[in-house]
Amino acid sequence: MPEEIRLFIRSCLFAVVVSIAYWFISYDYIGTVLLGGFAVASFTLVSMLRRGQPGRGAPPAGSRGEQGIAPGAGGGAVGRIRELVDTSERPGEERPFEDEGGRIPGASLAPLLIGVGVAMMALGLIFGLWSVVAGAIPLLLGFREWLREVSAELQALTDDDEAAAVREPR
Amino acid sequence: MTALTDVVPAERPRAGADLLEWITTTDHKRIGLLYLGTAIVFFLLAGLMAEFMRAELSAPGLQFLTTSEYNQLFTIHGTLMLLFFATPVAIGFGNYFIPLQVGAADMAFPRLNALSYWLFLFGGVLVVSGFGVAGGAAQNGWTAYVPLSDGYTQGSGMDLWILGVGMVGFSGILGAVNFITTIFTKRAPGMTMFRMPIFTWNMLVTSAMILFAFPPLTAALAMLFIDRHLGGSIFAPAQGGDAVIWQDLFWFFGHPEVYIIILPFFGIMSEVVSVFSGRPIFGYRQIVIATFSIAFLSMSVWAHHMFTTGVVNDPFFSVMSYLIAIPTGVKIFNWIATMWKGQIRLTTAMLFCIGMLYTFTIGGISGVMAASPPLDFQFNDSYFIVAHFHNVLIGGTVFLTFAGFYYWFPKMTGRFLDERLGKLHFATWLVGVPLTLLPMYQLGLDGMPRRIADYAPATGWSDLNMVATVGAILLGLGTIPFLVAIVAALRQPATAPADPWGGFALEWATSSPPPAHNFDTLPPIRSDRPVFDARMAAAGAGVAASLAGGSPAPGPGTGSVPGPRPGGG
Amino acid sequence: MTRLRRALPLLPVAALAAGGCMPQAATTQGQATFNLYQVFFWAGGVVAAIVWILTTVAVLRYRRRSDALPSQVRENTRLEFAWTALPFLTVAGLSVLTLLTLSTVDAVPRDTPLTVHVLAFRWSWQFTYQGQGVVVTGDGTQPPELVLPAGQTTEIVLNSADVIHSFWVPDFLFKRDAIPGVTNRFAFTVKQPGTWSGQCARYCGLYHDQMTFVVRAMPAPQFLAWLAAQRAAGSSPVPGLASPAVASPAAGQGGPSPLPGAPSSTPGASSPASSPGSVP
Repeated sequence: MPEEIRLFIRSCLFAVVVSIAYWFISYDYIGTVLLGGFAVASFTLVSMLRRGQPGRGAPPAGSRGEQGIAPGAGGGAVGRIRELVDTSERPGEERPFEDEGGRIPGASLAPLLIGVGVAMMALGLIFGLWSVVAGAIPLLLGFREWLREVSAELQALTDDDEAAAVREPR
Repeated sequence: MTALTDVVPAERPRAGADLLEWITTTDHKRIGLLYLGTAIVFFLLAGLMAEFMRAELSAPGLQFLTTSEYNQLFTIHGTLMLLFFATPVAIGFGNYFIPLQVGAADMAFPRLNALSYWLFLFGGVLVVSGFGVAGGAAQNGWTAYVPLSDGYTQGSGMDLWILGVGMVGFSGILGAVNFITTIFTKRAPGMTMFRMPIFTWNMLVTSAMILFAFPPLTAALAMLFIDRHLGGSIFAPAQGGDAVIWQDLFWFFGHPEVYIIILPFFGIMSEVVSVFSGRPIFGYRQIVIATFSIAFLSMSVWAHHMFTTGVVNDPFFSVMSYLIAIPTGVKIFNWIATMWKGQIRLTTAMLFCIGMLYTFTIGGISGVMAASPPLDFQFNDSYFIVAHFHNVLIGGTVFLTFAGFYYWFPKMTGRFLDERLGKLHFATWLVGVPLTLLPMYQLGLDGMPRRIADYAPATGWSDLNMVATVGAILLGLGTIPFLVAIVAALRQPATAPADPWGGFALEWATSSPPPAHNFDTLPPIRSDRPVFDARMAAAGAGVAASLAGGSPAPGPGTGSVPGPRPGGG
Repeated sequence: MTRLRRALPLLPVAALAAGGCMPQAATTQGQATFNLYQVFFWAGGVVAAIVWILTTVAVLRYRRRSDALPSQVRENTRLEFAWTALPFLTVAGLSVLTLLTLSTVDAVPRDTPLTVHVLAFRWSWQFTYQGQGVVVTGDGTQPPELVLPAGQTTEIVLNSADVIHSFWVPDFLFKRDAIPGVTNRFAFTVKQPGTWSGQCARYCGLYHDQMTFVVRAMPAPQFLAWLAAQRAAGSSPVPGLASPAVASPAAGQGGPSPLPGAPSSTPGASSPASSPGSVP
């Protein structure tokens, strides 16, 4: 069991024990619900992380690529933490979760556009609907730019992987 | 990245191009610097508000401010200091140094990282812009207790506060997800969890706490907004709502928040103390376990802010609050043991850490006192509590923020902050903090409530208030050398070597400032001090040159090249 | 810098002198709190002294003197156990003392001779003497007086008419929040006749700082006479006295008006009654 998961298992255990103890000490609904929420949140994290653990169906792939900018190893570079690359001799000990980051993105206006959009829409909640509408424009532009960049990067990554597979078949 | 070349015409003037580079950046180092710079601006702004308040309180009567202005100032002062300075400054340091310390090229989600910065910045702008609307900014304190901030407060200042704080809450959650993913998935080969620097450990635990603690705040803010604008009565007792539930939700966020803004700084403390003592951090595992304990316990002590409400289980929260003092004390002893038998170099960064041991201790002890419900019946909402948390936050968070700046400034900019100015800065703050806060403890015991703009002459509080004001002015003046040192340093050429302090963690294995992709080569990682190991190995092999000489520093602040393998091509 | 470091050990002395004098308690319950505070204060002083002395010794003794590599020892299980166990024992002891004191301070006897309903509203107080037909209501110009018999236990039933307030008499070393929708009960026994100032401690809006009141304790016979006089007087011959009509939460908003006109005059008015014996 890697340390990454143990951290949240500990917090889950703590939350369960404390919320039960708290209920029987205080019979207070609000606090028990909050502490129970803490337990549920920890448990959710544990189960999500466990799904991506080594030995859970994922065959150990090759070693990591070059330092810090490892290309996503093998197929699915999208989405969730799933498959594991075992880089150490003791499986799961060193870094059980795969870096799916792939390329480092370059400069992007998308975050700023979304930030401006969210701020304007927030103001719209106070000062009137026109600001919500106005804020939606940079927000949508930002999302569009973000998606465009991500899909371009994914495409490039897939091309790279195919090229690499041709060069040095494993 | 094509976006850059698409958008910037070649003949654009240089300043404009620079600006565009900064606002479109997804480089964790630049985002870190943006976070740090913005947080310092909010710190100075909120500090200025504190000076106004101290001036007003220096003598009975209303001299400089109206009551309403005073109330706005303490509200925005608290909000800015806690949510727009202390939290973001930790996120700023984390942004810059977590990828470096784990040997990664960037954060896991660089664009998301930029988005969380913008949400933080605009959230802060929203909160501060309250001063410009009719009725002024929010004036219900940073805790915004209901039903006061519900049906009893008109004006859009309060709404701007709700939305601004909500935005910074979202920003914090996005940042936390980013940190956790970065630490879990982007560690260099050999960097096991228990070889991570303490700062990275503490940022990991802090991020987990943000994940658990911020959603209740966001929920509470949403409910408050519903009450105020959509006809809700969640917090309105007259319509069957509950006025106490806000406090539960708020402090379920608020008390972990207290540790969210101290644990990262404990991490800085561990780094600085061990490097400048020339010793490994004493009791690495114990410190990590203490960090866990603080984080877990901090989730179960929220109602010690509510002892005086009479509706919470005082004994439970009192005992849990006492327990949290143990891991904090353990850390203090570990730091002293790290210094013990060391070769202590009294740089400004180290002086601030030593100063922290003196000042933070008082705040910690007064905190243990306040964890006792009978004593809290006297302290709560008095100047004793004001003194207590300022003591912890200035003695801990602010001192260690300064320590972090003096320690990491060469790495971030390639330039040193002037040590003479730094020592002047330290000396004024070391004197200023007790001068400001010790009188406040006594004022609280004597019966001065917090959040009052004025007091009667016959209360006899004026002398101690005057002393506290003098202390606050000293703190304000003491900040000037710090700012001068920053400006002066930025005008110098970048000359700092890769490892000016004889550092331990990986950030010292690359040039100052690091290139855009962070590392050309990484030393082998076989302990929590890879740079130290490499230095020893080099010395042992008879190689005179330290590792630091290996990677030459590039030009000042030009790490603007996008990633080494830009995407989207 | 050398001089500065020499001065550092003086900090604890300064702290003791400047930051730690709890006022003498005017109630028996407050006396328990006062005694508890003494234990905490000196225990805290010892802990602070240990940390400060160790830090100072470490800095003075292990200042860098050569380029030699210092000891690289990184753990010592026995030491680490000791400095975990000692704080644990300390806080365990403090917990026991706290819980004992808490039961004293929080105790509400079943049959107190006098029960006063306190209603907090923005920005003053209303005191209703249960079963006595006497109501004292602050009108915002002068702090209302809560008159009590000395030497007897009084039960307070605390409510708020609008937002959250907090009933605080600093010399009683006690406060309790007045929360709309929540009824809080507590009791105290004033030891001697005297006059003390009280104030709202929970921020409650614009004129929070002027929400003061006065507690006056008098010997029991005099107190009974005072009650009789109030009853006889009916409608407020004394400033700060109103007819006993307002006890419901709605009264807070409808009754005594806030004081937008008189913010600067009130602090002066509250002055003569406040703060005897608050500095030990």
